[in-house]
Amino acid sequence: MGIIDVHVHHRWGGEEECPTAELERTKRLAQMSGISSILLLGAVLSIPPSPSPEQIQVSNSNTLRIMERDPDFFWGACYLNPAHSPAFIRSEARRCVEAGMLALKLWIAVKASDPRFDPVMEAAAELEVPVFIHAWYKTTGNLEQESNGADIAHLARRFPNVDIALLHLPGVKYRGVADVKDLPNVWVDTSGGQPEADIVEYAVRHLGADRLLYGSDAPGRHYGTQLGRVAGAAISAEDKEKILWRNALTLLKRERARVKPGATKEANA
Amino acid sequence: MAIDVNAGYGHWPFYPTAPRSVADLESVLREAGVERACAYPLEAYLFPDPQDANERRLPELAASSFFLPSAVLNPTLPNVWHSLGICRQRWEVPLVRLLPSYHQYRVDAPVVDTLARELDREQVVLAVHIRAQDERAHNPIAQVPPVSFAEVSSLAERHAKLRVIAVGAYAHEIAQTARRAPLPDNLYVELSFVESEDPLSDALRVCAPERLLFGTHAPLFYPLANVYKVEHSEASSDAKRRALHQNAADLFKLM
Repeated sequence: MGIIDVHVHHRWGGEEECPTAELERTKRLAQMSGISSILLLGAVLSIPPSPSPEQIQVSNSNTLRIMERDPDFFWGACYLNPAHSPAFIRSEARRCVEAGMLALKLWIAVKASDPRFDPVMEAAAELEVPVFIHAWYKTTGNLEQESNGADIAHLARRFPNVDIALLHLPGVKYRGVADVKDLPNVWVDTSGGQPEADIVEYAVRHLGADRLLYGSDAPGRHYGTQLGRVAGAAISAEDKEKILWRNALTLLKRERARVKPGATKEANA
Repeated sequence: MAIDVNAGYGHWPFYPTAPRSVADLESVLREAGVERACAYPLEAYLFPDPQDANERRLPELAASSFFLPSAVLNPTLPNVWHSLGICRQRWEVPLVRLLPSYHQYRVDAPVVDTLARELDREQVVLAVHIRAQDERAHNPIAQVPPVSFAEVSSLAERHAKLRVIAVGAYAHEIAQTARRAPLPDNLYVELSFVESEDPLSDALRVCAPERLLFGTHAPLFYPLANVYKVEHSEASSDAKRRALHQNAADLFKLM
């Protein structure tokens, strides 16, 4: 089994033609680092931080089209904005998951401790998919609606039946690990930031290797640089294998998921 | 195999780093595929006089055939000439490093130009460290702004025969400066903080292939990360060889 990268974005956020050459480059670069599948977490770099329902739908439909092109390599997550109506959140999550998406993804539109997250979590529970949420502790100050580790922990306590992937171990660092240590429904991805030493070993010591997932945050980051953080950590080969692909398969329940033929046509009708 | 122009040795106060000895650091770097490393004392960031850090760490580094010792100087201190003399005579340092943000002076300060002229005369390479960490990750009681890459580029322009390395710049900082004017021919760019989907290819868009240098920033960074940064690139194999090995070998006249 090759490496699974659970944190990649695409830049296809609008109605323009599919950026085929860019996607092919993404695949070539990922494969150069031994990556066999990537989970696309939406076109966050191409649409506003708090996107409209229409922008969400277009971004998700584009993700589905990419998945349909190469379903073994491109996996997808449904990008949502908790500021939208519960009815829209429910219907968009269902549309995407029924079409083959494996997770829900939230970025910086609303903090994870905000009650507006509830419809997202309820949809995740109903559809039995994990929720991927950006988080960071920035010395320079978080964005107004940017979650930190404590926000994620608060949410995880309120929804113990939903698996959450806290994104950016190098962003939340030691405090973030401590925030979620006792919450077995929280997983942590290793994506983003510079490859500062020690944090992977610390996370394995305190969380265990079973709750860690390799992610890169490409194309803002490089697959290899981000991979070196895990491959170069002083942890066992067995733990590296868990982080690099085994845990992702477990969390994403990949065996049940396939892009359904014609799903994207139906979604865009 | 790679030549690393940016390795630190000693104690880093802000988070744990594994290597406890010169032999440990060599072992960690060799495991990542590094064949030689130009290293400096990490204590120099915060010691009031970086020469104390040089004297603590450079004897061990100079005694190793794996390491090239490099000194950290603070040109605002009155003893800078004495320190330079000791580092050159005792440990034959081919490279002097400046940490302007940590030692609180600007790269365009007259004392930097004075030191640059002396290093040029002695044919010593000058490295200016832009940053040691992502500013978002600094300890809140020790927030240090980055050095301006544009000012390092200007320093290189003012001293056209001095070889200057900018260590720890971000990709966008390099690109912004290069958009205004081509980077000076005597300016080298170390790659440890350059990040994008393909950092080496992106760096090659604005820097000559002969001017890129591989650096691990170990032990603050996992060294393998920066090895992969170069190896897992769509850049040509010649560009990778130059960045990983040849450019540093030429700069420091290593066989």
